[in-house]
Amino acid sequence: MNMQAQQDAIDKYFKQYVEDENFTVVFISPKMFQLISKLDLNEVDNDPEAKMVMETVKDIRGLRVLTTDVDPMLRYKEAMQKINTNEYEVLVTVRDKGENVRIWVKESDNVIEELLLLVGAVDEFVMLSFVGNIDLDKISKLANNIDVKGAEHLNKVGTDQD
Amino acid sequence: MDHKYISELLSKYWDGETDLQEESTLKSYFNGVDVHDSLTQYRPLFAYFSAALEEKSLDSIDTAVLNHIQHKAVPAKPKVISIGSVLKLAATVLVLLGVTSFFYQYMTEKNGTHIISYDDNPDEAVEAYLELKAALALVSNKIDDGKKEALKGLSRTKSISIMK
Repeated sequence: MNMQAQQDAIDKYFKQYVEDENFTVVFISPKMFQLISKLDLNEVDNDPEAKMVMETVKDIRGLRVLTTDVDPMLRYKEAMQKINTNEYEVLVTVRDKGENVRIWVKESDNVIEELLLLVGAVDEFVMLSFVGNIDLDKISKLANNIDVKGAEHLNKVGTDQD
Repeated sequence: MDHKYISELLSKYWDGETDLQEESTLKSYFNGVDVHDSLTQYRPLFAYFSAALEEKSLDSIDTAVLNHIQHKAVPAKPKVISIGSVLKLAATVLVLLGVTSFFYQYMTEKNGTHIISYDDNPDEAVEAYLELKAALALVSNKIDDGKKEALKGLSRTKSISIMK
């Protein structure tokens, strides 16, 4: 495992958000990811998708979530402009019910090493960054399990990888 | 009231599909005394709707949260919030995107510090796991939304070429 501290988009472009008191910041370190992987699921989580969650996160190294309700749309626009489109590729863009969502990924040698989610809504801005070896397939499948309604029929229509 | 039924209602609630009566049921349940252990963490969310309880409810949230933390053998550090299960943080994000000022304010005021950091304390691993699960749920749902939008676009394209 590469022990070098990897700079994610938040380190590169959004340090000021981390230092801004208007933001709530949640941070899960690589060390904590290791501790999580050692949890006994039977004691922790009764949901059937718990196993899937553990599978999905075994190669993820870090998570950061920043949220604010102060000038959220402004933050969203600001954030969108700062992201270097040479490094990051757009995976998803959704505009729905007054909410703008964009997911960026950073790929290296066919591995997704960072996933960056931005949500801009009238009363909330969310920025979320996963770093590590990110398996999109597994993450997408979680949606089918965590929120069954509506997603079922999509599973048949979507393309199967492999 | 059967807590399994309440769990079902909660799922409906997160999907925005509860009717007024069901919401009222949730509200009474969570403002009552007999809240099942696995559900006490949601109490603050429903206490919000009970304006009369506002002042008092902060204290009972305090106790409820701390009790919950202690049950999970996590030291009751004021700095760390016990968010609870995936539904709750997903709800927090959804609620933050929707209604929430009370809950959000609760989080920031409770904290003092605005940074919640999980690093090498094994007692925090459960909480961190739940936050992680919620974050994954959020990303997953958004990817799903993206797929739906893409498919909508595709079906429109198809019908255009057929019409040619």
